Amino acid sequence: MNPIRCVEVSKKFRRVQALDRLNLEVPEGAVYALIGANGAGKTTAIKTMMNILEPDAGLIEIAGKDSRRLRGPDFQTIGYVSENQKLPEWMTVDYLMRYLKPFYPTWDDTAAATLIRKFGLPGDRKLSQLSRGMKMKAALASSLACHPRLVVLDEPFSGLDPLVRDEFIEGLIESAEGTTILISSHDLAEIESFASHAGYLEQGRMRFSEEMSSLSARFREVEVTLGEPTDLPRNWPAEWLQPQTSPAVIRFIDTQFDERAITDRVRALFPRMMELNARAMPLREIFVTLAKEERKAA
Amino acid sequence: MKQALHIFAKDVRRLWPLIVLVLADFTLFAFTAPSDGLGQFLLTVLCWTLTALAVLEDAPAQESPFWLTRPYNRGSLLAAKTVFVLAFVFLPLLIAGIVNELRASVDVLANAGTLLLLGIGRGAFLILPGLAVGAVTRTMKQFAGMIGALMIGFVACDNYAAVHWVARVDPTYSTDPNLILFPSGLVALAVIALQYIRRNTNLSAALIVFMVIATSLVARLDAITRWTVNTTNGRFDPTGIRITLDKSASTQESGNCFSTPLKVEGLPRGAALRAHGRQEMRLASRLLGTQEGRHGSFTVNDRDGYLQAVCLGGFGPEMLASLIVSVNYEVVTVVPIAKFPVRPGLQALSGAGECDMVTQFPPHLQCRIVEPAIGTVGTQLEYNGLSSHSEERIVPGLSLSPILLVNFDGPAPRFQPRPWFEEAMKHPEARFILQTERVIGYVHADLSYSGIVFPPTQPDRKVQ
Repeated sequence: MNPIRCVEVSKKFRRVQALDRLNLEVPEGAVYALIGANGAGKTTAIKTMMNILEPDAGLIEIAGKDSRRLRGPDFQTIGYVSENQKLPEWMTVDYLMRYLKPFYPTWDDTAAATLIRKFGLPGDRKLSQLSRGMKMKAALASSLACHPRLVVLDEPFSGLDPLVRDEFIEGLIESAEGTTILISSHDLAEIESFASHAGYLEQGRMRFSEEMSSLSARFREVEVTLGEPTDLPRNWPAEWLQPQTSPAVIRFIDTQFDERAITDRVRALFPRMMELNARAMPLREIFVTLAKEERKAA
Repeated sequence: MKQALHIFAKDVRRLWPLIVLVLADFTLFAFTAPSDGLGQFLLTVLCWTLTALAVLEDAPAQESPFWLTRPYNRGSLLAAKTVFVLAFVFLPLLIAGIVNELRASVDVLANAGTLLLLGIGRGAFLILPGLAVGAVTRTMKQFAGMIGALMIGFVACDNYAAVHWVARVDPTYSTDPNLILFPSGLVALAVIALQYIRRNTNLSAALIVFMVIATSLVARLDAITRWTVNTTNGRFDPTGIRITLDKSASTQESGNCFSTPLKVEGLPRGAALRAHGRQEMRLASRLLGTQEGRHGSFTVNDRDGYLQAVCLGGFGPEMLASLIVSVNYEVVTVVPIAKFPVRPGLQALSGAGECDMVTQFPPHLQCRIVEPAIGTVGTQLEYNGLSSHSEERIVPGLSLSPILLVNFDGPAPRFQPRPWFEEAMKHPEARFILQTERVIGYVHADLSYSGIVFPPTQPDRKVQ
């Protein structure tokens, strides 16, 4: 059973369709990166998963349970950290930990102490006196100290400086080993280093959802050198995005890259092809490509 | 329960300065029972603020509150808030009430039921608005704004209903506080349950707004008042009461006001009429003046009755050739609590408490009444077959034994003491009577009178 499963989930805010028949599955033990432009529906998707919002249609299952039926005890195994979450800012870091401990049967004092130390959190300081990055680390520490089976992070890196971000990720990876993690973020370079899966959300719909290895294998920036200047043919394949031409060179992004077939397909369009280079793309470039296409279509 | 107590302890830790302030105010109330509106207003504000802050600590209305994605049991959360308000508002209120009663020599055990009932009523007023409105708001600022808006809305709707609606349809309307408090309390409880179970803030907020508008309008409906009266006094039929102008008696002048004598027939023994609802005086083509609501300034009984009419300054006698008077009264049963002589100083009321005549009579009295009194307590001055009912204001405070402020001058400057008061004051047999009053019905009469002369040419009725 997958820890998170969304089937045809829709959510509308007045006239805005925030989620449009969203389908998503996060496998056990995966680190799933939910990416998408601003307003794509990432936060809404996460909030409906956590039963903060109710979906208008469709089904969300969290560890096999309908998200609408998620109640307090179900959160004993779920850690949730969000940039929008209102923390009890009057509490000190130590008191926050002491206060939360009785709520979790699996609370681990040692893990809590380790996380506080690792994150450099001042135990006697009120949350209101902490910087934004420190607050996020305190929230993460309080979510990981109970060894949750599922960790959901909604834009945890936004506004954090690179050092804090690194510490945050390190803490997450070390403390949540084997835990299923769903993380929505714009910080794609960071996510790429530890995400095992990625899903791209566009206007409330899941454009793709797959393993990182297959994603990076599927996207290639292709550069074709021709014998002479040539215009783009009319029958340009739809999966080859952002074609650019300069005299005798054509560049495009292949979203369905197949190493064995690409040469033949290019040659069919450009018989005078002299050279073909295909470069792997980082997640950030893939995201930007898709975002640009989305904007162009809009 | 363990979780509820854990959350409760957290709230105490967070809100202890305000808790101390509220407890101090309750202590002050217990030992001084301030009768001024400011003291009671301050206590109400403190209690509402404390309750709202406790709710907002784990606000159900926020979109991403911290507690929502933590293993909070919603029942425990509600229980924690309930324990909090019981511990720091309801219990202190009860204790302060008991201390008040003990200080007034009330037998607390014998009146435990009444005391508890009063405590629940007052506690509901001090707790439920804070809980319900707190449950649908996200911040203290929002809470204060909503409470203010609801109060303004209530007063506006209430006034609108009184002036433009109910008064035209049926002038015998009244506002019974129970008709507002009881359904409001039920709606508040429903909102609290809805918010903690379903977190449907829009619906809950709409319910509160609807409740405020509905109660302000419904409370004015005479039909419901009648229903209440019939329910509690099913055997009483007010249609047997007849009110006519007593043409054999003279009109009375007092300053620039004048009163017309009324003849009342069919009034049950021990009952009296009290001006209540719309009272109107008009000439054939011109409205001279009106009064609305519970004037309470004058009671007609079977021995002596005068309608306290509107002031007519500036009108000449020729304009009063044909006077039409439309009156509404409530029928009240009157049970005497104590009789005591008219003299300044502290008067023991033989078991009913004590009464302090603050100044030389007339006009002021201040009484602490020990006997349990739910309803109105009135004061009557009785002398030589004449009687006059007083203006009264009961200050409930926290006490079962209300303080009764009596002012025979009345709150309206145009009301003057009866001319025979001065005479009565000099006679040792003149008596004040403290009495409980209970409304058992309503009567209405349209009267017309010809030949009134103003100022009256005949002398006032003289004290024999």
